[in-house]
Amino acid sequence: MTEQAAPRTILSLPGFAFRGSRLFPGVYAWATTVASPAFARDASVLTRLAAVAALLGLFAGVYWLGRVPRLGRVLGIHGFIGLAMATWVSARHDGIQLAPEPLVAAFGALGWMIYAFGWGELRGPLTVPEDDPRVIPGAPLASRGALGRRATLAFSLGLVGALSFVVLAFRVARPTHAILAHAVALAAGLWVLGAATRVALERAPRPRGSNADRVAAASGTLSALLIVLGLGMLWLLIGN
Amino acid sequence: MRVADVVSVVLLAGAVAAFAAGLYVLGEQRDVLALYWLVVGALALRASTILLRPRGGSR
Repeated sequence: MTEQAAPRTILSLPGFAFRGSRLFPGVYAWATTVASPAFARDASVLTRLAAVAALLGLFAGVYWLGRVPRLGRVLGIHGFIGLAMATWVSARHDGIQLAPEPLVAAFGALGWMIYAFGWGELRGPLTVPEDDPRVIPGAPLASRGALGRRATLAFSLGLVGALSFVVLAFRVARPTHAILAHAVALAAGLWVLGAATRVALERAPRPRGSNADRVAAASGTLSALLIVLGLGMLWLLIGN
Repeated sequence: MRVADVVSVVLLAGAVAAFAAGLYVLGEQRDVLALYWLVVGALALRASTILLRPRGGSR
């Protein structure tokens, strides 16, 4: 992985942006999810020390990132997260609830997410990846063509279906069934999206066999589908 | 477009509808019917992808 050269000083706009995007989300995540249990009334000294050390690790990581990038990453990522986890373990050992306020915890999780993005490496502004001397030369890969109506229809179908599953899962009121519904919505949504993408993109000319061959290959699953649908019809008739 | 391609898109639509029906009736507290529609959705989706790529999809 190539590491972006860090501005050595914070007294410039790029330097401030480089360090700020790593520091501020981390401080926010720390304040909302680490400091609150660590500085609760019943917290032990060990918990508080771990929390303070985590924050110091983050600051040190951001400071060293411009000088020794590897050390900066070790302190700012591994040190900070490791000490934050140590704080949580110690706080639980002290009998402190980690997330008494669900809303604050949710915002804290958001802070952790932005922190993770902040420590990621992005392409620098106005840089072209192909200008890198390590790029392997060769003809650029051309697009095989625009997607057709069938592709758009299939993908839209999958997308709308996957989103509707999530909405429908919220209709389930019983708590245990609601968890099942959300799990099913997620799994079915991913599966449908994957299948829809495959249906949408399978238009390149390649030998795929005749209709009869393809129906024969799917005959087992199609038979099972027909049997289940038939049983459903029977159930409907008997039930009425 | 071949007939099998059309059937695969129809099966995909059927699978989406079946999954949606399964989740809808789960909200209506009709668990067995929900399970039934989820099974139908799974089978329809599987059949849709097999119809599209009958040789298991390895390229």
